[in-house]
Order: sequence, then C-alpha cells, then structure tokens
Amino acid sequence: MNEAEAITRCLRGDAQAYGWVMREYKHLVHTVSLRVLRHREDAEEATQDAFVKAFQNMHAFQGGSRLSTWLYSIAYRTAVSKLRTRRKGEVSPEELPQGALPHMDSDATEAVDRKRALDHAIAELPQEDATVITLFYLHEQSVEEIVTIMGLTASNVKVKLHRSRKRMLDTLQGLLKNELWTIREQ
Amino acid sequence: MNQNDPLRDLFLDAGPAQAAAGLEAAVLAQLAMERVSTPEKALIPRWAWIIAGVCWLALIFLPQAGAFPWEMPTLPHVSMTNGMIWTLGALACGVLLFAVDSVLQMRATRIRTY
Repeated sequence: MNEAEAITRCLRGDAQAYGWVMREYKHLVHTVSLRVLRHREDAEEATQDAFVKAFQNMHAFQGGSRLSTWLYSIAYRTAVSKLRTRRKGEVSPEELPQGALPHMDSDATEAVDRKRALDHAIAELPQEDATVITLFYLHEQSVEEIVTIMGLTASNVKVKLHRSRKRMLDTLQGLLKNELWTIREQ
Repeated sequence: MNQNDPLRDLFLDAGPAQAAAGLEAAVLAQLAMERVSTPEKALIPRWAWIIAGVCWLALIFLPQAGAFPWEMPTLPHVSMTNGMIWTLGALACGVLLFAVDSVLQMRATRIRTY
C-alpha cells in the first residue's frame, strides 16, 4: 500500500488503511510528542490523541504537504496543548537526563553510547529547540515544513536550529571525546 | 541538508523513540467508541423536513382554501374523499422518507469491523 492509496481508503473510513498509516509514522509522531512533553506516558497519551484527531480530520488533509508533515503538525499541537493543561504547581516530570552526564559503560556498544549522548544533548535543549532540531534531522523536515508544523517564523526556526546545533555539538564533543567520531563543524 | 553532517548521522543512527506497542489497537478502539457515542448528523437535514411539512400542509389545504389573494397554480378540485386520499398519500410519503432517512443514518453510523 502506498501513501496516496492509504489516504483514499482512510477517507472512506477504512481502519485497516489507517493501521498502515499508524505503523508507518507512530514512532516518529511519538518522538515529536516526547520532545514536547518529555514524559513517556504523557507522550504516549498525546500520540494516541493525535492519531485519533488525524483520522477524524483526514478530510482536511489537502495533499498540499507531505502526510508526515500534517501528522507532525497535529502531534505537535496536541502535545503543546497537553503541556499547557498540565496542572499548575506540578513538577514537570522530566524523564530525560538533565544535568548529570549519562553513564557510559565501557563495554557498551558504540551505538548505545551515541544514543545516550544524543538523548542527553537533546534533553539539555529548551523544548522548542529540541523539537526543531529533531524535526530537522530525524524527521528530515525542511525549514518550511517546520514552520508549518510549529507555527514559528522561518527566521526563528533557523535561529533555533543554529543555536541548538551549536549547543548539541559542544555537549556531544565532551561526551564522545574518547570515540573516533569526529565532530566537524559545518 | 548536508549529508555529511555528524548530527544527521547521530540522529539517524539513534532513530526515533519507540511508541507504545498497543498504539494502533488503542486508537482504533477509541475511534470505535467515539463513533458510538457521537450521533451522526442526519442525512436529511432539518430544513428539508420543514419544506416537506409545508408542502404536505399545502397539499391538504390548498385545494380547500379556494381563494388566495395572489395567483397560484390550482390543483384539481378534490372532494373530501379525494382530500383524504391526498392526506393519506402525503402521510405515506412522509413515513417513507423518514424510513429511508433512518436506514441511511443507521448505515452511516454502523460500527465498522476492525
């Protein structure tokens, strides 16, 4: 099944086709929710809500953008809305490591170390910056698409990208200094 | 995007966060529940019923009113017996329309088998 066929079938209420859409995008949509909420359970709830909203509003998808961009946009707005409604006074239940350096096992694989280091570097960024850089690198969204998803201006997105990229490289350079991986400033 | 960007490689190597295993089932269950709890919009809207009602009343009273201050196409004169037939016919049409509307609405709101 391709994306166009899946959309057509979803518009007819075909749940099987929507299952395909969810399988294709669930991890990426969940990552957007997680970047905003920084809490696994809240992010899972937001991801579920986002997919429900997306199915109910599938008729509003005009095809002017990629389906992924449209889904991330819904996921981002759902997560931000959930973030706002978090009870006042409640301590933000951040799960991602902040402050302390991630523990690097000497016998852990290089990939795991890199993933931990990356998670740590992302966690040190402000929520919006973390979302922007994740959309840019992991989701391979363009600046224009990020503007659509997050409702920011293009210049704002570029500034956030530049700032968070520099900050992440600084953090990662310290964390991954013993590796052969060389950070090259672009 | 620069293909040699080390951050790009790091992000792609790490991959996305893993969504909950039962996400699809949970979403489909929620959609099914919302279909049950949210009444579908009637396929024949309220205004159509009002127009049908006005037409129905006109069918009953127009032949008997006899004199309107403006020119109107007059239906053939009907006796009381014929009037009863018109009334019953219009009533039957109303019931038929209502039945069709109900059937279509039932089909629209039927829960799909996931």
